[in-house]
Amino acid sequence: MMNRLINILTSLQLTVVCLVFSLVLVFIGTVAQVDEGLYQAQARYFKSWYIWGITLSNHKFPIPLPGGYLIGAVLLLNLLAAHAKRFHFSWKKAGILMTHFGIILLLLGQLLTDVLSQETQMRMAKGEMKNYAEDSHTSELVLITAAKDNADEDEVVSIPESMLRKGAEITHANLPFTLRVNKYWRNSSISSKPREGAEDGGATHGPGQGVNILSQPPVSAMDEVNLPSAVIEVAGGKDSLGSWLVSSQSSVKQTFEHGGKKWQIAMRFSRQYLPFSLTLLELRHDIYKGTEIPRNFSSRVQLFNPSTKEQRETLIYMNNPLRYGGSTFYQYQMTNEEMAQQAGVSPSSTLQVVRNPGWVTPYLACLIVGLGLLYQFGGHLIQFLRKRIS
Amino acid sequence: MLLKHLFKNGRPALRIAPAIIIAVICASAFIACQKEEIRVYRAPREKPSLADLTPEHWQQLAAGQMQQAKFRVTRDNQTIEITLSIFPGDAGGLLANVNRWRGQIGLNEADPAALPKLAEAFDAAGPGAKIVDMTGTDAKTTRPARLIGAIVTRGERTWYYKLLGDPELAEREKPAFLKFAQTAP
Repeated sequence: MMNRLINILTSLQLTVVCLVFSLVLVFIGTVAQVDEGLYQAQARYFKSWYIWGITLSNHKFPIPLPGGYLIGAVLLLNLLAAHAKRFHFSWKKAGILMTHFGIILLLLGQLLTDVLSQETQMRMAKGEMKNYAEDSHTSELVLITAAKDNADEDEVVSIPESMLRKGAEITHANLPFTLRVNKYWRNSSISSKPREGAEDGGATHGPGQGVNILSQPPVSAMDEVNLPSAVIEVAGGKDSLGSWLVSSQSSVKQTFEHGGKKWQIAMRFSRQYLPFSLTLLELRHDIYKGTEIPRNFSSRVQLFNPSTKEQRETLIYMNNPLRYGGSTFYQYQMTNEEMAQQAGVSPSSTLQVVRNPGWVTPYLACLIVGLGLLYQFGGHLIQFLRKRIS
Repeated sequence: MLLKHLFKNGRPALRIAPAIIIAVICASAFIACQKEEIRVYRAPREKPSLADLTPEHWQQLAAGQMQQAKFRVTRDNQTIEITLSIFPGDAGGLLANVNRWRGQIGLNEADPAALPKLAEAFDAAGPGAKIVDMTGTDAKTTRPARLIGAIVTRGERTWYYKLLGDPELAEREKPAFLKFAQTAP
């Protein structure tokens, strides 16, 4: 049985099947981005084990397909198993070994990137200082209280949005009360004005009282965000302290007391705090003279690291990101003075913050593959030339 | 040297295929089964929120368009609403905004000469800050209404604090409103 499994896993046919499925998946996953959006298509086709139902030009087909994870894992297994079974080391074939090792590293590197990389945004108004980045694709329900041992810090209990389901009860060692999810909307819009189809959340405390919530279909395009809302009841023992409407639309923090301690509750985009801060000093949105075509977006920021006392100014512009503390800050979006004036908001700049501990693996893998091919084909070429000369 | 230990007659010294297969399956299963969990982390304390800066009996409402915050106070059938809007620059200047407010309570537009009398200095909120206190008739409810407005410039932005509603309750809440207008949430 084991031998049969190993025979299948080490077969070249399996490699071909995987490569064919990869081609099909890349094609379908790319085309589906038009209908499903970039973020959703990536998650459904490439960051999944299997796919049930594909979308092509706005039509759904109930076809099952292996997902990116499955194809990648089988391909990796196939390559490793084939090497373990058939591998016969000789200097003559060292180039092939290096090439295959490079491909294995590429596959593992991609897995590492997928698991460990984070893409978040940091939006700063002019003059604003921030020490955290936000992921607009996920939200968190936070319960905040003053840290016991540090007057300048808060302790934050962050509950991922994936745990919020109607009727769910949430408890945690750091929470001296139970949270009940009375209502939950994956995407919503809240307003104090009555609207058709909207419902009263039924919150008993805070600014969410009497506010109506309109359920919206979830969105998946790269430039759209879901604004989840929930009505959370706080129960200390048998007694209910009340219920609050929380929403990523406003992210407003609401206060309540339990056991003589002040707590704040809010729903907001998931935050990743940084051990340093950035302050937006100046933003520039240059255009080519006489046109509306952008020539340059740039943000002049001040970096301050309290642990090392490092303080310096740096300019971030297209193709010139700031690399610091394991994160890369790219210029992403900008609301210049004119646009801000029209919208009645402050001028702001948004930086894309990318943290990818595995960023070096594709470069290394490609280098190894290149060297392996050079060694292998170079060897053949030298042999060929030697034969011709002799 | 290392290669000699790892390989015998050109083949791997250990039968590692089953071990590799099991390891990759376990790693894949681990990744697949990763679930989001509750995180507890420390974060530097942020500036006080609106809830910390306003009296508890001020009921916070969902802010309207162009508003940063909105509150309502109700007492003995009387109601007042307090709003905060922040604009870049001076958003049209002092006279235009005072006249906009005058229009909301049915008063005629004031001319520039009357402005120094209408808008008094509100130094407690910052240099150049102004405050107006006017009584008229609410254009929406047609009831007597008092409007207290504070205009405060902070950096390159102007903060507009407004209290509008029944005169008696407005008088009662004026101290809390003035205190609120001295803060920048």
